[in-house]
Amino acid sequence: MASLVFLGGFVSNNHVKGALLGVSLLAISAQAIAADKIDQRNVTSIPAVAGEAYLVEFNENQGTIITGKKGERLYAHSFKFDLLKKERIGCWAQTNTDVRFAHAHERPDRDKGPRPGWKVSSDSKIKGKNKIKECDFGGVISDAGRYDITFTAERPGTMRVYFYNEALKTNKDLASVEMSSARLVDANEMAGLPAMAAGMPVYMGIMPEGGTSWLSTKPEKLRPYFAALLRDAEYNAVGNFAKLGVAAMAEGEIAIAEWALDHSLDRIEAIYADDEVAKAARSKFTEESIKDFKGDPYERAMAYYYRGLLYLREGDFGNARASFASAEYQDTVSEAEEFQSDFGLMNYLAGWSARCLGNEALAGDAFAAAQRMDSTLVAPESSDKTLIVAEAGQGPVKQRRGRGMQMVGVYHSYGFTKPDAAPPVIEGTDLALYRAGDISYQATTRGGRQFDAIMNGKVAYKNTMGTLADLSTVASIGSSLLSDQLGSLGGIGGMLGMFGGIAGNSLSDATKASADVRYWDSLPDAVFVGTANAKSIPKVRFSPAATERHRMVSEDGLKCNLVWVSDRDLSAVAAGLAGTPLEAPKWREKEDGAQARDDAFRQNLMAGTI
Amino acid sequence: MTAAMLLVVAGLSLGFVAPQPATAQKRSSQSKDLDPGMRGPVQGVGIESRDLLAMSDQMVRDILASPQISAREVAPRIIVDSRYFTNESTQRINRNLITDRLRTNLNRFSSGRMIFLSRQNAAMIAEERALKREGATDVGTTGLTRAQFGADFRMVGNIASQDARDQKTGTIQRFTQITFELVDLETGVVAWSNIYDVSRAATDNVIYR
Repeated sequence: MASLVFLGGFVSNNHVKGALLGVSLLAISAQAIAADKIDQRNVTSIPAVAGEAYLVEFNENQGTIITGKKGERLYAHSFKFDLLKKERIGCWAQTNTDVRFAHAHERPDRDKGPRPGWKVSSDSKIKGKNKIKECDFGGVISDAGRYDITFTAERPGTMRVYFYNEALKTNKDLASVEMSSARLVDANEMAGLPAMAAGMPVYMGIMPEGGTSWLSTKPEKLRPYFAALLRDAEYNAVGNFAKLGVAAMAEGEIAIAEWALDHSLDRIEAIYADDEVAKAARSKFTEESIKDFKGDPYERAMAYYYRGLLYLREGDFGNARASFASAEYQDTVSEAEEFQSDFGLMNYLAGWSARCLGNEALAGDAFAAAQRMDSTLVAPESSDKTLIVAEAGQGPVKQRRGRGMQMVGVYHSYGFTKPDAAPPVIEGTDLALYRAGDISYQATTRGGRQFDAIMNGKVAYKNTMGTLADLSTVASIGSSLLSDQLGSLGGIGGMLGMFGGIAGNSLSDATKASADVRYWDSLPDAVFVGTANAKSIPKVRFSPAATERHRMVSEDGLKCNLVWVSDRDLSAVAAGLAGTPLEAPKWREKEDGAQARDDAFRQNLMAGTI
Repeated sequence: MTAAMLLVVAGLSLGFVAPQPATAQKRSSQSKDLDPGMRGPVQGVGIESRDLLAMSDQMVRDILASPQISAREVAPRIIVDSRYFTNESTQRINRNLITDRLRTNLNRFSSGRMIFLSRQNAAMIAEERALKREGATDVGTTGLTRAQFGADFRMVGNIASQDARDQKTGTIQRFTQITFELVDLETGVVAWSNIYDVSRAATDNVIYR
């Protein structure tokens, strides 16, 4: 356009006029040609995760691209990833329409090519014969950043695609199994959403002798959780006790819930300074997952949260406050936490408990802390005597990632509660609850800053990938050594010097540094709170179609009342700890300390001394 | 990927649990008796059983040595229970462990210099008194009184704590302060008070940090 304007500029000499006109026309056509070569993309990228399978439809509504080169109008889907240096993501696709695919790396410094701001590979083809074919990102990722893979089709059709970390040995048969349960994705609904994952499977150890008859003495709906305690013993006791506690709460088995959560918390609070198994888990030749599970900070915080709710229910406001204060403290128990805790929900609940205890000073401090983190968390009216806590959605999941599967990726689950979801309301009133807690947010951030992965307990951010990426190679040698000795050895150079270089495949092959990805899969995603001056609260409506599945109310005659509800069927959650490796029982057997503890746990559990 | 593992993967939705070989040999430990006054095998930074014992012993000795309480002409009547014993710390505590032990030991060692009232069982006492007066039971062997005894003093207390953490080493430290007071229930005077402090630090295994 500037060139066209220039034509009307000041020229007095005919030759100059002609030359200028020529140059301008050249500029116009160059610009026009350049514009023609840029693809017109009307595609919403689907945030994707390695380990997930997707089912998409190619049609006008889902996405189109008009290619800059040939002006072709194609149906399109794009899957985006935030990848770390040296990750290697592969994929398999199965389609009933011919597709082409090309991967691209976001590069803001690039302004040429069909997609400015992206470095695009040349495309490859997959015939639409419903055969499973490989697609890929072109090998090892050289720089951390945003990547995507775009599939285009000339004709409508459907495609299943399975992405995986190439550190896992996979083949067409496994891809076929994964793709058979591929999730149908509507790209239009993906805008602004985070990457989501289905999570890990559950494996458990064997049932000990006498276990089956012992289980028959337990409430029927809770037997799977008691079974998980027996099978996995101390190994997953923190998580299995916590899951049993929440399931028992949901079933109204309050005594069991209190007992189970107390045992979970006793283990969270125990110091494992000289624990032999913990030491073994730091060894470069032993899997990290061999250690007793204690959970990540957000999981430990939630164990305290549930115990706190039970204390509120019985009117023990002092211990309720202690629990919520401990939950908030756990949120800060992470490496290099520069910021204060950001779990405003726990401050709010601690404030409520302190007020019920009659300590307005403590209550005021806690409510003020909550409001600093979230301005919508205002202190309740002093006339409000009932606290309503409503849980919605499914909490985060974990998966391994990284070149050697040595990192933990924490993702939103498919059941997470969208940030713009309407809050629950009390039936028959206009009282809407506040979204006070976001568990997926807590799990994927440190002090409010989102991280990309966890390695050796330390979070990794994409913009520090340059350093971490080198560590990711070194980590394949000795994950535990990093956290202990990196500082004293002067960083990566020191590490390399210690091992005489890292080219030796024999050393890296001998190591087992895959990350521990066990997690508590029955956590909610969102926790809403509200208060009222009535003791009896009508049903809570989570959405136009959904209502509460479980409800727990406090005992009669208390100074403050509690109504806790959940929209999930908590006792239907599979027992056992998601992410437990298949080989875990074998590993534990080989460690004397672990096996002795597990055996003692089972004995004491069945004898009733736990 | 072996066929067996494929079956496992395919069966996950049914809650299938992969079969494992039986453990070859049990290596467990029998439950053992522990001295509650010593450090136990399970340790943290909060109050432990040895603290409860030490605290209770110290308070009992101090109360017995306090002339305002233990050397009165008429043995004072004292309520020691957890009702006004608050927990403002970050540790979940069964306050009854503290107050029950205090009351029991004071009762045992005061040799009648103090009288302890079971106010938490007032409803139980009222029920029995009613039965006697209705004639549903006889009057027992100690006779009837006009009313349950009123108290002269009541034990109140508070547990508070302060947590700190070293970011570099992961060491966690907790200072716990437990305050005890005997309050005159007529005048409001604090007739006796004492404090028990615990400060403890620990560093969890790096694998948990």
